[in-house]
Amino acid sequence: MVPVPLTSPFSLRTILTNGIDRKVTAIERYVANNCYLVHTPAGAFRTKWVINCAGAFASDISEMHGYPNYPVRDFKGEYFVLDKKAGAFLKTPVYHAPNDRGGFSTHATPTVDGNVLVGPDSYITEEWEDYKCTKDHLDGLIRDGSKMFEQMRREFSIRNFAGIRWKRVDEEGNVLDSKLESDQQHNPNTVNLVGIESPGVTCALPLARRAVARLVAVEKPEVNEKFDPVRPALKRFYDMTREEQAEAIAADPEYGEIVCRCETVTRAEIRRAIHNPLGVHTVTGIKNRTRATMGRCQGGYCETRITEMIEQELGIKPTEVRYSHADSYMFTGPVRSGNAQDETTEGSVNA
Amino acid sequence: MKHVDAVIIGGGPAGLAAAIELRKKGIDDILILEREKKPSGILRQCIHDGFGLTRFGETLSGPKYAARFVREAEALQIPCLTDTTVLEVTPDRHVYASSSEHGMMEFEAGAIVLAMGCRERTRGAIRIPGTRPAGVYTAGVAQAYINLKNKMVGRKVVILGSGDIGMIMARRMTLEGAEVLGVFEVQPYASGLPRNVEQCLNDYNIPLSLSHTVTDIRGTDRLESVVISAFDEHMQPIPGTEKEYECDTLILSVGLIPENELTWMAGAEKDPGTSGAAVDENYQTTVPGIFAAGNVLHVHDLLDFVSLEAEALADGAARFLKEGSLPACNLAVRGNELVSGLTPSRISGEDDVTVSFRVRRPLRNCTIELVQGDTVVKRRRMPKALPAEMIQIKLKASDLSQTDDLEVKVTC
Repeated sequence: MVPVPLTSPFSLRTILTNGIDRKVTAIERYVANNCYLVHTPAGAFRTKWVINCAGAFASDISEMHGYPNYPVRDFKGEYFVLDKKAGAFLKTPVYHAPNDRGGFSTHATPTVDGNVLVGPDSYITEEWEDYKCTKDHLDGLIRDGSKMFEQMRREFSIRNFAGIRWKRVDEEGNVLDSKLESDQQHNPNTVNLVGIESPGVTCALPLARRAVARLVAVEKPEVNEKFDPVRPALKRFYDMTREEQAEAIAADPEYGEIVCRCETVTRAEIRRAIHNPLGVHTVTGIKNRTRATMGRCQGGYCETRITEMIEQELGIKPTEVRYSHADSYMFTGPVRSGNAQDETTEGSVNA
Repeated sequence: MKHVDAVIIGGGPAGLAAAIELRKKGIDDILILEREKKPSGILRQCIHDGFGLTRFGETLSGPKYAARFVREAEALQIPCLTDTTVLEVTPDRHVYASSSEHGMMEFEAGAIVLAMGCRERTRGAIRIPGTRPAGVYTAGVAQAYINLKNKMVGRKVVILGSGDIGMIMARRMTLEGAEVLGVFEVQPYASGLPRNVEQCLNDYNIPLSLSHTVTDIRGTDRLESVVISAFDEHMQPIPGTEKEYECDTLILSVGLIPENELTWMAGAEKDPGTSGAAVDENYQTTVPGIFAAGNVLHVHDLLDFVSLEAEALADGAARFLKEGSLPACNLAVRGNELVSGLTPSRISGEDDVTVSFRVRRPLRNCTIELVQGDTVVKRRRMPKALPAEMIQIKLKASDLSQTDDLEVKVTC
């Protein structure tokens, strides 16, 4: 059996959800200083090496640092996320036999967190960044997915989403292989990765090793024998034993306050996610980092608490709270100005 | 680990009523566990009136109705741990709960009352296609933001689903200056109470469109519009009827689901008809000593019935604590195809019992018969029956046999 690096794509996505003001607008090379200047709205960054792993925008970056602007097309797939209760019925991924083009269609996958994903189907979309779900494709997932996973019951539906893989294509639209290149003669100190084929997350580590090898071949850096690549993951409250939970609360009482009921995420974990060096400050960012709002009630219980924590921890106004993207405001203002009722008075028999 | 005679999970209307009634029946050692900062449950945010007509003979707001129970519980000195979330209930009646103040707690309970209420069905559960922008709220979440947190969630609003909270939020948001474009309901009839159609929609000229639903959600950051389509009698969209409504907010009132995760952890069996636990006439689940009442058992139409049901539960729970067990209930309760949400699941035939259920679709001039074998135990004629309204029928022990299952037959 081939070992596959097992991780959650949601935790990787976290980094993306906060990168909204770091979009690269230009890359300049300074030959005299043997460096690049990478321009973003948040300022320019000076660097010796540029590794392009920009996914959807990899072709644009590719052109900025001297490689061709490779034609890519959006291959889109839609998904069902099923309740952890469905996870009890599926212990191993279930795939269809490959079709005549060698591709897999809709399959059912248990996740490391215990949910089940059904999907993706695969189709080409002409719209850039088209992440919407459509009735036809969701109906198709139910039809095909039920064959892979017969417990795909209506009551297990939590959420739908769509993902896109940008594949390289030729002039006729035929799919070409992923590109990993470096051209030390024309574009020194660069590595270019474009049109990475599925499954990208699984391939990320081997691809990273190959990209680094290009840099090492040029720079021949000394190996730091003391470098420890293992970062022990923080254990989630949910994954702790009762004894560990008791200890965690004793050390930090905010571990005792369950903010997200479905996924058993504590106030301490959300506070840490907000103040992490790669901190998150949107409802979706907190979801991707901690799983709060990711369960069967989809934030019905915890979203009001999370938005309040974002305000308190970051010292911002409710109108500044964002759901995910830059303009995804959640509140238009106070309902009533002045002394509105709040948690401290409501529900009290003495009020 | 601490022993408690009766642990009550949830300090909402069901939990409070059960606790008070248990104390009145002589159970001294009671503990309510409540995850919010104060007891009262969802009533904290239900500032509209209309509660209490059956229970108190007058109409009250949610917080006022709850305050009567909170005050009584305080007068009876019933302890309630707030800011406390129950993590697990075991079949042998151990309860694990955590709070910042008290840390991880374990209780060994003589009896457990499950009173966790219900949660709202979400967009994902009914899989509405489209993008996933901000501005899509369930009605209860919008109600919490507006009534408890003083945060307005939007200005131009479409409401999907004619559940009671959706209609109440249509009125609420109109009163707070938002423009409510309409309430859309996929069924050919309103799913909430007729009084709410009148008082929340008709009185404010908010249109209610039946056999219509949202078929697309648009906008990347914040909601920009929704597409509404007419549906046929097979619940399929009719092509060509799509109409786009510009709006910044979509409120969903598409059903309530009993919140039973702890119930299943405890090993209780589910009643497929209610999505809640299968209970007998004493409101005892299939796990001895674990009881359930209120919206965790089956979603009620009126709050007053939640309180009354929880008070009735206290009879059985108190008897269990005093006698160590309850008589077996071996007779099944079944309904025909027009019956939904039937509870209890089992009776003994030796005690008075209240049977609750709803009809599956609106009916006129229907007959309800409760039958054991060839004997009609009770017959009731109803000129009109709606799925929005719970039907309760009381049966006397003297009318029941102890040998035949009970069937609820609705004919039209």
